[in-house]
Amino acid sequence: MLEKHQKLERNSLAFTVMILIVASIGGLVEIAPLFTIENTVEKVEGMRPYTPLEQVGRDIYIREGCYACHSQMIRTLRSDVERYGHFSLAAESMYDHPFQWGSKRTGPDLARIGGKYSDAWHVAHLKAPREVVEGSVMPGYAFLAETTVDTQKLPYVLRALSRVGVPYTETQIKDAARDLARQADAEAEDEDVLTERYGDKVNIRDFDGDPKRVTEMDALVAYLQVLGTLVDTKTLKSGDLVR
Amino acid sequence: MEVEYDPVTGRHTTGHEWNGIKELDTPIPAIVKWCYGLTILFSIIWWILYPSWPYVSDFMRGIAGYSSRHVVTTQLQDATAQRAVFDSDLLKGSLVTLAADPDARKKYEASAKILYRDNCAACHGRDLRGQNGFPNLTDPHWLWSGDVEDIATTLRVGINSGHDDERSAEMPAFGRDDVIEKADIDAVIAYVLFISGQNHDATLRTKGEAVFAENCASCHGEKGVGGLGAGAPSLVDQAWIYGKSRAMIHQAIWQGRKGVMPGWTGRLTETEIRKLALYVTWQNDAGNK
Amino acid sequence: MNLSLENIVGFFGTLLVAFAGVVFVTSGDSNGIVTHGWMMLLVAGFGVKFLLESIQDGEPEAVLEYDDRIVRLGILFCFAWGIVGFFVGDWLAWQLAYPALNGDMPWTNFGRLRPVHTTAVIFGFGGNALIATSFYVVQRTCRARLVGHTLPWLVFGGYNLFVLLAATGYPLGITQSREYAEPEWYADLLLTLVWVGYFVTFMRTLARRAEPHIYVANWYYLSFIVVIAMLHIVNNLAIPLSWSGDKSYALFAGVQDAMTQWWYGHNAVGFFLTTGFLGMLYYFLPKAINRPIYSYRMSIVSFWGITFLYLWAGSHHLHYTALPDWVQMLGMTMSIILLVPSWASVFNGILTLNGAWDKVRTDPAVRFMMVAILFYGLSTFEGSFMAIRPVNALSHYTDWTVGHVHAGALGWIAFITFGAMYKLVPWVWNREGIYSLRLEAWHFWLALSGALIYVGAMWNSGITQSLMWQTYDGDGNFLYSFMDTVDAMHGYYVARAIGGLLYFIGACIGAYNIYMTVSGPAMQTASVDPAPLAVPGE
Ligand code: HEC
Ligand code: HEC
Ligand code: HEC
Ligand code: HEM
Ligand code: HEM
Ligand SMILES: [Ca+2]
Ligand SMILES: [Ca+2]
Ligand SMILES: [Cu+2]
Repeated sequence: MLEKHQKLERNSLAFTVMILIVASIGGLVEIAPLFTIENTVEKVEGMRPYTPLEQVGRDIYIREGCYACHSQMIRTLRSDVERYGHFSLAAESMYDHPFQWGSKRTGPDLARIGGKYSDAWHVAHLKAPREVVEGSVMPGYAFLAETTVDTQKLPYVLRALSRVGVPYTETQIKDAARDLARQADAEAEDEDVLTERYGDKVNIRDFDGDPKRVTEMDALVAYLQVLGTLVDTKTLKSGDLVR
Repeated sequence: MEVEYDPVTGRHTTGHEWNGIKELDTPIPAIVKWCYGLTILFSIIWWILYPSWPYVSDFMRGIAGYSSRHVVTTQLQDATAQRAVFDSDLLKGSLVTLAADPDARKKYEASAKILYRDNCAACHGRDLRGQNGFPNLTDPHWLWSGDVEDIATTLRVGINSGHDDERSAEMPAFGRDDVIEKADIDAVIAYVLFISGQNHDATLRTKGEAVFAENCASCHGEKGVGGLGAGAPSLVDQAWIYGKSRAMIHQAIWQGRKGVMPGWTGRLTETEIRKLALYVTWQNDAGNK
Repeated sequence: MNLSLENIVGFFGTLLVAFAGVVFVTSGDSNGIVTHGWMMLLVAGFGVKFLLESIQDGEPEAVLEYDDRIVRLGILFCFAWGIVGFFVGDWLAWQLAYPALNGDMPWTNFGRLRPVHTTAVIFGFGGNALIATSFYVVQRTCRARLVGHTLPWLVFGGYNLFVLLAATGYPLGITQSREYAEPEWYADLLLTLVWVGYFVTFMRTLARRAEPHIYVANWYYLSFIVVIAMLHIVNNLAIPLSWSGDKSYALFAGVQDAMTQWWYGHNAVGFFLTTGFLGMLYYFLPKAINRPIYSYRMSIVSFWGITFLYLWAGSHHLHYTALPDWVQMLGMTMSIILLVPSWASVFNGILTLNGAWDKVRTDPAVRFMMVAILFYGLSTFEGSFMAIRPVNALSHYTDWTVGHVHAGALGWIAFITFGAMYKLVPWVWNREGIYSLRLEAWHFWLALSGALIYVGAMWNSGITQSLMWQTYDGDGNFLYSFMDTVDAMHGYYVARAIGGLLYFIGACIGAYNIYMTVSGPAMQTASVDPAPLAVPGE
């Protein structure tokens, strides 16, 4: 053994190759099967790609680094489930490029925040968290309400996402900007277009209290309000989920 | 390439040297080997017991039949059963009786408070006193009703919540939707300021009274005293949701109001909802004293 | 004229960066990427100028001297980024204690600043320390001059451009929000290029060595370079929106993305923050105390143990999540086994000190290194402990993790770096010794007390928080609300911020000390780390 190692020590290329081989095994064994073992991502009803408005909101969530304080992963622990709701399924983040499970809970978990509060609350809270919630340490994001969403890039957003595997249709991609406007407008006449494309769990309304504009606040709140609402956890049978 | 003796450790060097750095040829201490052995042995046992190695389309399940999802489901069932014993009074008695029962209060108030803090305090505040846009729950002025059963209903279905049986109440956007003219709006504002005991333009007030009777009284009641139990607040008391300033009143009339209180069925259990309704009632009594 | 292959390839790479810069400046989709375009243009401009000069200079004569120019620059950059990183870290710490310090502006809020901190300390401070020391160590232990006339410079410049793009990107809103891999696609690509150059430089120098055997420190540096390359490439697979945009979408989603990310994330710890710094330890400790390494065989066992096992452990970041149980179990068991080679390194380090313990008392640099080993032992023990599922059920998502991180970061990474730097600076600048041993000792004690306060506060806050999250009364009801746990953190956050401040002040003193040493008089005689260079044909 020692002899062989001494040989290796004299050959920098062989040493490099050896390192590569030894180091690549773990990843191969732990990652590759996640793509091939079928029940890794549960087969559940309800999951759909994000609407354009929600996706823009998600991008803002990513841009602001909310993951630094918020998890989106309810663990299989009693205290997690009792505080935040049904444990998170792998399926619930199947369209999340990248995932935002987080690793620190300075603030509460957000995996099922959708529907817990009203839009008005989210807007007030995001603008000035410490005025709304006594003792909060969350930064304020008032600037989101001032920035109008730039819809020019939207088709590229959906196109790129479809390239990495999110099943957007050609119409969804082409019509992304209009779908975005439709969702943020409570008065939109053709809202069934949106529900046809994205299902009836789409929240269609003005989110930020300023019906004239679609702001980043609209988008972020639309995203927060859909989190954890797509899969009806009441209908899940625990037997199906055991892996 | 010379092997040297190191007097400090009593070992020899390996004979190599790199810019003065040498290495001793100390054998691997037994403890390192033992620890490797033991941790590997432990792991092997663990792998046999629990889910571990993957195949192409399946994985070793382990003979202990463990699944963290299964475990937590069982734990949750046990916890629910445990709480069901504790909470049994809540589902049995009527809420009115429970609300008046000091023993019930002693028993349930502490855990209700945590529920309140985790679910309601964000809007209604730690002390239930509400904040701009979110009503105070400690005063005697109710939009809907202060009856404990009605409060439970409010919690179940919410207000303007999108729930199928929601309590629905909307202040129309009289100004924006051109329902009444601008001059009338100024007048009715003066009237509202008047009935709520604030400084106002007395000349406009009489005109405002007529506008009010025609447009507002159907919801806010004769002379704005409210109490119709339809979600429209009294405008004569000191309990304001959005604020009593002229600007706020103007905003209410111009663009309307439609406050949303989420419905909690689904997120909270029926027991929890009843507990919270009691909690609000108890705190409300406290707040009124 | 010197149109070597190296210069041509270097030119190609630099022009590529310059070209990307032009594209970003002229047609960038956002202010952020335009700013980055200018930065790339500027740095690539320097690169081109430098390359042109070097081509004109003609073929360099065979220099019979070690090339320490980049080592010196690397040391300066290491301290500069360190000061930035510690400052932002402490600012963040104060923000959590007094959130008004967020300013509620886009570029100063916690979420955007936090990765500035992690990037500045890990990639700026740690990365430059690793590049500087690896270039120093590989030359001395191979008795060979660093190979490459221009490539090492491009590696150094490109690397720091990467860190700059990364750290300035977050405040501008350019991030992938994947921990420790936040930089966007173009910075990722740049790092890939740089890394190839780094690898080539290191390998070519190794190949030129006059020693038959490769020294342990170089095994570690090599594993750091090779494995980080693999991790970086796989984890950053993504599709950009457009060639002029600062946004991309990760190739994988959800659970697969999570596992890939933590496979990367844990091994950023393993191969950036551990093996590279172990390489440092294996050179500077024996040099500083003039003792042989305690056991060559133990070096082998711990090296391969670490190289094999670390890659399996990433799933301990995902205990009880939607990642399937089988991966979690593998991650947990491998993390436990991993303690053995980790502690084997600790013992190898500590026992090397045998016969030189007096130096711990007299030489603050040695004291830095000794404490670093202890903190390394502490944080690996703690890490393996936290990888056990029931323990992780407590520690995960809380400040306990942050405490663990900083036991490793403040106590191990930064201490071994400071220790090595205090030795290295006089050597590469040919100074008698460090400017002031007293200041060095002050730095040591400030850093030690800062680290202990920080870690102590976080252990307390982490355990407090996790217990509060999970405490039930006798009837199965929660005893605390979430906000109660936020309230309970305040005192600990203040304490941590004070600890961080001490640490920061210590580092500033250290930087001053280094500055004074560098600007002080040079020695007449040759360097204290004489290291004869192998003469060709020897
Ligand atoms: C410095 C840490 C921090 C950052 C960064 C942060 N938050 Fe928070 N967040 C908190 C804390 C603490 C709370 C709990 C107190 C409160 O409600 O404000 C919270 C609460 C929340 C809540 C209410 C959750 C509940 O169940 O009550 C939402 C929604 C939220 N944050 C969203 C966000 C979003 C979106 C971002 C990014 C744009 C963000 N947060 C950034 C710390 C943070
Ligand atoms: C998203 C914010 C929000 C949350 C969370 C919330 N509420 Fe409300 N609640 C409101 C608003 C807004 C109203 C008044 C609705 C309106 O303006 O018509 C209200 C009204 C009420 C009322 C009726 C008051 C009356 O005068 O009739 C009760 C009772 C109440 N809330 C209790 C609760 C309890 C208990 C909880 C927690 C389970 C809770 N609320 C959570 C926003 C909230
Ligand atoms: C269709 C019923 C309806 C009519 C008609 C109506 N209101 Fe209202 N009003 C409401 C409701 C419901 C609210 C509470 C809205 C909420 O809580 O979000 C309200 C709220 C208000 C408020 C805010 C009270 C506070 O506490 O901040 C003012 C002021 C007000 N109304 C004045 C008027 C005036 C003046 C008129 C006539 C011009 C009028 N309302 C007509 C239903 C009505
Ligand atoms: C002055 C010294 C330092 C201070 C005050 C400081 C402070 C902080 C703070 C406040 C956070 C955020 C914690 C949270 O989100 O709750 C953090 C995170 C982090 N810091 Fe530091 N830090 C310091 C030095 C360092 C050093 C030297 C390193 C590495 C070499 C480092 C690496 C990290 C890492 C990796 C994280 C992320 C932790 C995680 O995700 O769990 N820090 N630091
Ligand atoms: C045997 C060695 C080690 C093991 C098994 C180990 C294990 C762990 C575990 C279990 C976590 C917590 C994951 C979670 O719950 O989220 C963690 C986090 C972390 N550890 Fe270690 N650790 C080791 C050594 C180190 C060292 C030496 C450092 C050096 C700085 C370090 C840096 C970190 C960082 C930065 C994180 C935070 C990751 C994040 O959430 O952002 N670890 N480690
Ligand atoms: Ca809007
Ligand atoms: Ca990246
Ligand atoms: Cu780890």
